[in-house]
Amino acid sequence: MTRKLPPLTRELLNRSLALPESTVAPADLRGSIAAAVRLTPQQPAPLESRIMAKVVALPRPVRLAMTALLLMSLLAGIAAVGAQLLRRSEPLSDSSTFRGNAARTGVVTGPGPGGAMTIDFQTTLSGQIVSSPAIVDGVAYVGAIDGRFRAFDLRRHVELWSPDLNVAWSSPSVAGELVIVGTEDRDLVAVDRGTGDVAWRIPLDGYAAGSPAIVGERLYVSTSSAQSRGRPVPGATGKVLAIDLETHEVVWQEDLPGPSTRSIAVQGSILVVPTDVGIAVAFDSATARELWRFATPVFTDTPVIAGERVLLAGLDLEGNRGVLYVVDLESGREIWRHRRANGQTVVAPIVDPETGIVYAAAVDGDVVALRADDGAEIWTRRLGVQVGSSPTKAGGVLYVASVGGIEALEAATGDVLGIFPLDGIPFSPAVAGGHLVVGTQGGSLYALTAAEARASSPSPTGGVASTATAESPSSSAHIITSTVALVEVWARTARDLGIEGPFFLNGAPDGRLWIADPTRARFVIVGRDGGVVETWQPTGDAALALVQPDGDGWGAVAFLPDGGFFIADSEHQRVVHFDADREMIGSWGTFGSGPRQFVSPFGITVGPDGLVYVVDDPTCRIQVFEQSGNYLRTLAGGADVRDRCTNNVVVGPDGTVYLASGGRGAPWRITAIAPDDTIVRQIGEGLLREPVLLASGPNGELYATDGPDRLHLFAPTGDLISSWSGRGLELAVIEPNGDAYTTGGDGVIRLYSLADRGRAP
Amino acid sequence: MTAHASTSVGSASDASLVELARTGDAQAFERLIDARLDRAYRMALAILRTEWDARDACQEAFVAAWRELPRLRDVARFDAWLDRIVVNECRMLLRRRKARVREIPIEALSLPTDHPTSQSPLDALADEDIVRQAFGRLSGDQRTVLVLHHGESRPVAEIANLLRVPSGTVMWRLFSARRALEKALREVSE
Repeated sequence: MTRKLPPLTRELLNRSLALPESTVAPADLRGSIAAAVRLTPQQPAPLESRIMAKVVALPRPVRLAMTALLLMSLLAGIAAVGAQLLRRSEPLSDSSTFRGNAARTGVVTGPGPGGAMTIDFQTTLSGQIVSSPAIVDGVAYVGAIDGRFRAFDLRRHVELWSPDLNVAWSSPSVAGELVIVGTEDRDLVAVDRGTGDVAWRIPLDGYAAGSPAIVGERLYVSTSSAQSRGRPVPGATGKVLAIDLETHEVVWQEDLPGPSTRSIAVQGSILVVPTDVGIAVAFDSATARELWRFATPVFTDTPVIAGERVLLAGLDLEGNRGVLYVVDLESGREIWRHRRANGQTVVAPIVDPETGIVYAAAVDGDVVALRADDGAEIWTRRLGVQVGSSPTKAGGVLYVASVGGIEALEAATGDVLGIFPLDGIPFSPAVAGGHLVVGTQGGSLYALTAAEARASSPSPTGGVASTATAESPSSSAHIITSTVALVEVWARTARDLGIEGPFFLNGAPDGRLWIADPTRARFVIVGRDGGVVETWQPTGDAALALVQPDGDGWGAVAFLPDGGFFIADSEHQRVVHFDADREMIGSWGTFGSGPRQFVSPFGITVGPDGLVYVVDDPTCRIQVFEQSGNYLRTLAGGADVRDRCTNNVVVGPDGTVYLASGGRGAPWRITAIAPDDTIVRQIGEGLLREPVLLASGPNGELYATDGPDRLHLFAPTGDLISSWSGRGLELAVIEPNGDAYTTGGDGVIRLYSLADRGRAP
Repeated sequence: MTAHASTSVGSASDASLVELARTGDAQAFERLIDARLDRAYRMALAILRTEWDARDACQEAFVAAWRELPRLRDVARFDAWLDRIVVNECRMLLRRRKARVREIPIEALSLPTDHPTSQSPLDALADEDIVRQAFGRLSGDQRTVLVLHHGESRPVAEIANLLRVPSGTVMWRLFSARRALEKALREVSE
């Protein structure tokens, strides 16, 4: 009898998932942890902390003398390099306000860095950056959570000034010689661009978290009485104000239906004000007369005005009712709306007035190009990584700030041109004069430029700014030379194939797919057409145990050229050898941590050298055997790999073993380990987010699935050749012809043709 | 509903203990463990659902915290930092048991609308049980975000800070986790 399902209410969820306070840790766990702690050495403190501790311990006169010496050295350095730096005076175009202009189109004139990005300038601030910089005359103005408002000269790579104005969320706007920003002190501050001095300050009765919109001699800003940051705060109110830039006086102000923490958009005589209660209000900028209201779900992102249309992204906190509305600027009447099939929220889009194309990014990483006339879809690109802020378009390229970094997309096709990983979650990028400037929640400010421009331009020398470094050695661009969407050949659900539980994929040399069905301790063998060829269940001594106590399952198979194969019989803690007729030849392994012992062997590979490599859970120990089961050696990969690896290894033609590891604060990367257990190189650091499975290609290249939706192709040297985005890429095996069998969390198995495998490694 | 502790070090003596532990004082660290282990264990148990896994995750997390403690810059953030390590350890533990790809029917599923509005205590317990069964079928990320939000009543912004992802990502994960849970509910009830 089928039980009637309960409605999945919040109350039921809370009740079901909470554990009572009476639940306590086992009595012996404290002792066990304490014992382990006493055996575990601590990491050394960062060098700067140790230096600071030593400096603080010095007598005050000595500290003063050291400070004076450092200052003199700094001044000398500035004098020595100043002339050379000043020669670099190529003009830079501007991005004077959030999203490039007061209409907030997200389109800026002039080129951006393109797909091949590199760091021109990078510095780490002492607070998160949660706003977008303004760039004028080659100077970037940016605030940070630490309250300081800073100016950076992008040509000379120096910080010009950094007064503490208690800024945080507001993105600045430039008006002539002033740069204007809202503060957490409930006021609006204008700063002299040359000196960093406060020119004037206008008190507000709320927080101006958005970016001021400046048109002629007028400034428009909206406020919230509470620091809501886009979440409705009960009782919070909002206002919109028009301020005369000459007199600094409020010309008019009007109450809003709710607090406003996003930016106002202005075009001509109409300004559109978003609110956190999901109502956008249009005003006549001269008379303050309300023209219309338009309701969007929950709260409204920064409006975008293009021609006669306004685009309003209705953000939905639950992420299932997000809608992008296009309304008539004059009347507020809806013209069309776009809703993602999965209901995902779309952030404020780009609208290119010249081409009439809307580029919208959803928070789940889908980027879509729509015709502004009617909303018809032109292309969709699935990035497979979350997007949390508005993108920017410059010179035919879209720059999307994702959780992983900056993704450069060809505007015409949606193809990914390049990815530049950042060390934190970025806010909306500003682009001007070939530079892309973006801040991260990690407090880093990056100025990226085209790799070729960086290579051909003179580098500034000397330590002219203590917080700035010209190049970060740990960051590098991952330039994709070829990116083509995966072509789906077929898709079958595991249930269609008779598999009810967890499963695992193995590619056989004949092109067939061996799907481990751990629940039934068998393999379902599928042909290239997606049809089930046969099922095979070893019996007797060869019977397998592939289901772990918690219900998960394995079933990795390593094939030999002669048709024989090895299976990692994980719950029997052994490796079983079969010949081409599937007769069991032998097995080896017992429970334990010594040679020929396993805890839960889960990855198995036969290398080009004919040796068998077995990865054991949970220590990531790799044992190497002859095919007879004779133990040869153990590879551990060093402390940074041990206990942090993913499922399997790939063995290169020269015997190099590739293992993906990371997490727990360590960067994800692929480590290449030589046969003597030395680390040869690290691959993909900064690019990889959470690799799941590695696979070797037909020509010795290396494939890595990355998160649920990405597949990367690396040359053995570590160079990134190509990168694909698509559904269900958590596990992948590569066919001899280069196609890929894949699957993901949806339980669907797909055969993808990698139509363009890019540059041959 | 389980209340969760503050995400900053709660007292001056705690801050002193963190400072001492940073310099290698294992006894100070053990005192920090004493005050936090039960809460960490509850969170790990809620995510992992088995006592052995929760135990492993806590052991790994506290040892990792000890090892990395000298690199913690702001002692006032110790609790938030420790929570992040525990959550990451739970996710890592689930991820290590990979190949856990479970078959979920892809056809659209809708929940019945004629569910009675009143129910007996036994029915309520049965409902909780079926939700927990379905919960066991979710991925590590889905489990984590549901436990933090619904099991521990943490607001989205705090979860975003803990997981170091944008609030929008947390909201998206909550949505997709709830959707996956609905599908898993259907499966376990069949």
